[in-house]
Amino acid sequence: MSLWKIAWRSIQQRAVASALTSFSMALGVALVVTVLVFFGVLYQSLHRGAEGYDLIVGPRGGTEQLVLNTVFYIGDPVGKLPYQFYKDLEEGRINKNVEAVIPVCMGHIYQGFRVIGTTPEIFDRLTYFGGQSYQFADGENFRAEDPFAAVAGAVAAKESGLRPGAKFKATHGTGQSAARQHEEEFTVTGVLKPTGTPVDRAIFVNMEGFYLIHAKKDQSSEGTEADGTKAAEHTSVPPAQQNSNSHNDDRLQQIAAISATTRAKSEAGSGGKADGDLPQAHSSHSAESHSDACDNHDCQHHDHHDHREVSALLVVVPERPPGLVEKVAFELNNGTFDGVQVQAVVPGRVVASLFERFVGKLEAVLLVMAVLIVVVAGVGIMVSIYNSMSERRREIAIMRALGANRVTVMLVVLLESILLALGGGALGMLLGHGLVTALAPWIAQWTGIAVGLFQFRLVELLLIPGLIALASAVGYLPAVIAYRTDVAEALTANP
Amino acid sequence: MLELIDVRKSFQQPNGNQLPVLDIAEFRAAAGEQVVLVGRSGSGKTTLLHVIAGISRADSGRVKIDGWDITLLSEAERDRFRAEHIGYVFQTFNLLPGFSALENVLVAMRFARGHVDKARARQLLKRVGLEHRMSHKPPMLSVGEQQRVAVARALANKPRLLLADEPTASVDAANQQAILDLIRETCQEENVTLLLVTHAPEVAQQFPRIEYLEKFNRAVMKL
Repeated sequence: MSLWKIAWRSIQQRAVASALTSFSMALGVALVVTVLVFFGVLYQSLHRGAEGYDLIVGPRGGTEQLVLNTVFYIGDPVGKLPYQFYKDLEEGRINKNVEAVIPVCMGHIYQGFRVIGTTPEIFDRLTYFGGQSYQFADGENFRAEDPFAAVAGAVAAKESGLRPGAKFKATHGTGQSAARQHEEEFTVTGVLKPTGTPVDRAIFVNMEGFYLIHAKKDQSSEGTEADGTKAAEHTSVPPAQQNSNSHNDDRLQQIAAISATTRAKSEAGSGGKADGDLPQAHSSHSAESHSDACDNHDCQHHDHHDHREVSALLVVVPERPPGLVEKVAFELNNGTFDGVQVQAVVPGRVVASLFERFVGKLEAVLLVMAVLIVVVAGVGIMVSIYNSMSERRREIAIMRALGANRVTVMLVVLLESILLALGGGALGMLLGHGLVTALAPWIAQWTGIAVGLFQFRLVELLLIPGLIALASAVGYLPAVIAYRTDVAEALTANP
Repeated sequence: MLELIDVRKSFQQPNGNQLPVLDIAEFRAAAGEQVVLVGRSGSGKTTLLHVIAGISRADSGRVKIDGWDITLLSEAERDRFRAEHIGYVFQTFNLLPGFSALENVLVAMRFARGHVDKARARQLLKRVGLEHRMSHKPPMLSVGEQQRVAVARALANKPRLLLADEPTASVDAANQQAILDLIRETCQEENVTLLLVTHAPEVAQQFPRIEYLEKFNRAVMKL
């Protein structure tokens, strides 16, 4: 018979009081566990969003604003980068150690979800959370040749009702500044499977569509938007294409064809395939304009790119040699490219810094509060055992009379305190994880992270030595009383 | 086997004065001997047993058990000595209420040796007629059964000396003789020296050696 069992028998003797004190400890521990798991999920969620690429390149300005806007679609872009910079970086003219460059254009929403202009490569080339490829729950990725195609993230699709074939109109601006809906409709070609990243809550459109929308708007409003924002925020259309309002639709088709042809040439080194993929009307139109104004087209093309802009670039750098990411970032941060100065940041580091500065502090505050509740529960254990000491004096005296020394009876009381704390702690962990499991569907909906009953954080293991230390501290006072018990007096006292 | 020489013990009264309780010039008991100490209430019977068991320390004098002078031992050493060499049967049984009959016996083994001998614990309970009540806790046992458990517990560590403090005083009349017989028989079987205190003449007269505390405790004689 171990001292643990002797302590356990003492607990059983005062089952109700022991259960209540242990339960109060369980509630405290459950709160600690819930806070830990929730913030763990939050941290994981934040980090997931910043995975899949190595650098974010954007205009000089706030680093955190760049990451918040590009990774989490929060707030406004830092500024704009020339489209030509994107092309130069993508084609290796700026840095040869760049494997892939994905542009993102911000500034639109649909039913509260950010609409992001980009290229189809965002889902073809990039991965998320440990190298997983983006998969489509329904439909497929949009094509470069279709300027008004879109892909919806899992949550955005579910909540806005978008599905393949659905059409929607994006609204210019974000949040409260979103005031004007564009007339042009985007057609959804696919819905992504949940990723547990901010991608789930966004809608991605072909950025060529953005450029076309704003080209049309430039023609109608002579370059100035109703809210005072220049149309060039997202696009710049060659002046030659902005002259005739009466042929707007023809112009749009022409721009679409030129845009697609240019992209196809740029990526495939030949315009043949892209032309073949274009809709018939666009192809023929393109062919005409291409033949009769080839020189002009080149000029237009360059001019077109000169005025286009992007919000940021997601850059993939080859894995080897180690340190290449830092090297590329250093070169970009310290260079000037045709008068353009940019900033390149490693998103994971900024996210970690953001988490520590803001979320980490909140976690710390909540943890301190939860730990205080655990300490109060510990004091409850002390009070419970302390109150029982007067009625246990005889029991302790019997043990002493049977040969247990002072230290042994002191240990029995301490072990009792530890058992109550650990028992409550174990129950609390179950309760905490049970609560998290009960909220799992809600968490999965918001973060895409499936939380299970056994979603442990390593830091939870600290609860075990922590509870033992707390139980030892609160059990010390009653243990000392047990230690000091006068055996002869307790034995001769009336039972 | 048991030897008390010039043992004195007094308690401090609330007014600060010392109240002598024990003043024994000499007392001896041989190995395996069964001695009954008779004394009226307040004659120091329980205090004497506590001093012999090492629960209380004598103010002066020597208490030798099997050659060991326990007055020279530290408190922790006396605890250990008591656990290993002395069995104690209390008037009020003093069983641990949260433990079964078997566990009450095992606890005594645990404190004495650090480990338990379940076979011996079962054998002892069987010997006192409780083979079917081993898993019962004290509140579920009759007073007679509780005292039987206490006897088994006192013999758990094969003591050299068994101290019994009015073991039949709290037991109903029907069980008094049975308990007394049990204690004497088991002590005889295990060759244990028995020192039993009582104030009941009918109990005392069954023993071959009867000592009256009033006759050799000078503290009582002075009262």
